[in-house]
Amino acid sequence: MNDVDLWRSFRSGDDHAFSMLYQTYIEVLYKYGHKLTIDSELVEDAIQDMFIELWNSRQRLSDTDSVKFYLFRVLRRKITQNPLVRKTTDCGIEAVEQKFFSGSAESQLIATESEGTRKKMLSRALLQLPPRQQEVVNLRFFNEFNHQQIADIMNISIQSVHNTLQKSMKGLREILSDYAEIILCAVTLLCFGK
Amino acid sequence: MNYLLFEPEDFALDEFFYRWVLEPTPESETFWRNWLNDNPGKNKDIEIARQLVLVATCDDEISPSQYTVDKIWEGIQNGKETKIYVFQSTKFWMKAAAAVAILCVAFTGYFYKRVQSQTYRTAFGESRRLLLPDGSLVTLNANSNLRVSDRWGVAKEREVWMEGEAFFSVSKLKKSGIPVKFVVHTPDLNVEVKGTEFNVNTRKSQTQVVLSEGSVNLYLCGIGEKNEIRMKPGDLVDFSQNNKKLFVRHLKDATPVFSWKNNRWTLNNTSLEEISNLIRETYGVTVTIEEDSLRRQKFCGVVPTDNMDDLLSSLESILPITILHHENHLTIRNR
Repeated sequence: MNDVDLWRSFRSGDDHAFSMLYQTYIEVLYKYGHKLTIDSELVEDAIQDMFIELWNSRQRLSDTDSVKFYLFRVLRRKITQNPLVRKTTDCGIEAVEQKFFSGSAESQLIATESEGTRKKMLSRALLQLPPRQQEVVNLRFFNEFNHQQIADIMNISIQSVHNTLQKSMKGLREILSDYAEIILCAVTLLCFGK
Repeated sequence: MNYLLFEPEDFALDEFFYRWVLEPTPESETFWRNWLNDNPGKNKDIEIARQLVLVATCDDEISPSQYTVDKIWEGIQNGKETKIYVFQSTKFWMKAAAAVAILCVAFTGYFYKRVQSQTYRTAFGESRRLLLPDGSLVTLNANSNLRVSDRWGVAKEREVWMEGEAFFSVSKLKKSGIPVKFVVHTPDLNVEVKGTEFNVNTRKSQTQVVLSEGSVNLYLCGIGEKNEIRMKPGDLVDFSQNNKKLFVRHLKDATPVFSWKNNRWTLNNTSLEEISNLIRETYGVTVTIEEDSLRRQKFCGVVPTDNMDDLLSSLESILPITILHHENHLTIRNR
């Protein structure tokens, strides 16, 4: 069943379709939510509220050509409008400081293979961008929304989406130049000719 | 598309380009190979652009655990139960409305307390920073909770209730020209401030308040009229309602008291017994000190508290002790 059919069945009260929607989108929604706040509990609450409201108002909902877009837009509004949201942008509050690793998680980290370590380092490069830039990069590259959709989700102009993406690519390029050894290692993985 | 004018950033943002990086098709593969053959000088730019795409698509956020996914779903299922009924008959609707009204009145009192506040908790080994609606910042230490009244918009005071340990950085707030008080309630006392920084700790069945800057008024609970204490920066007050014991001291340097919020403990003539109490409260483990003489030994130094294993190994490096860690139990013995 594709998204549009799933959405239709859910609107007519199909419990199974509702659960499928949840299972399909929970992971990307959860990850996106963390681009907006570092407070996991708040992300969980917002997702929960959103799905409850979806179910309770399903008869009033209209057809949508992108379920994912719809869900992202609602979730963003829910999180950013919460008065208690600890925005990742608050200066002096560092996102990394919040992420405590328990003992076991730490040892797991050490145990990961070199490929994993490389990935970890690359993702750290992404985390060095300002939160807003991380958000557009997440929406564009990871969730593959187009510029118009991103503008609608974030409630900004298409021009700002374009500018922010440009800035984040510039930023990433600078950060990457600090990770010279990663670039080298990636070059060896490259094979253009035969 | 004139790719010759492209910078690496432009390539990375070009849909045709990044699709090729992520999922090359025979078509895109041929195109880009030919293009690179024609423009060998662009090799480096293309490589940087490829890197940018790979980093940008990197899955950097932590996935929700199965437990979290199930927990949220369970919450959704519970929330769904509250269904909306549409009544056809007006008569029935009126009766239903009357019944609902009566029920509402009956239950308002019961739900009042629950609905009107929000509670934040931290687990063992976790600390959280909360930004309150008025811009005040609270750092909540491990194994602590903070309840915030939701009625800040209408109330004359900003009220919170806490247990455990927290550092408050309260911002000044005025409503129609009058300063709005910020009140922290603990089982032993109330801390009243207008805008200042201070640490509150309710562990050890007493409440300790240490003032960093500004001034605060304390109102001790359960001792009648003369219960007000005015604190100055650097003052430390311990009070327990149970045994009515009050202890006031001035610290030359109060910062070690707050160092926990930067994931550090500053040990300043701290006995091993006190250290093991801190470990117990922060990480939720039990601690046994094998030799009695060890308990009273005092230590100085700064140790990291980001996670317990790091803390234990740095304690072992500055003290003549060995710490055995088995599941939720620590045993400390002489080395």
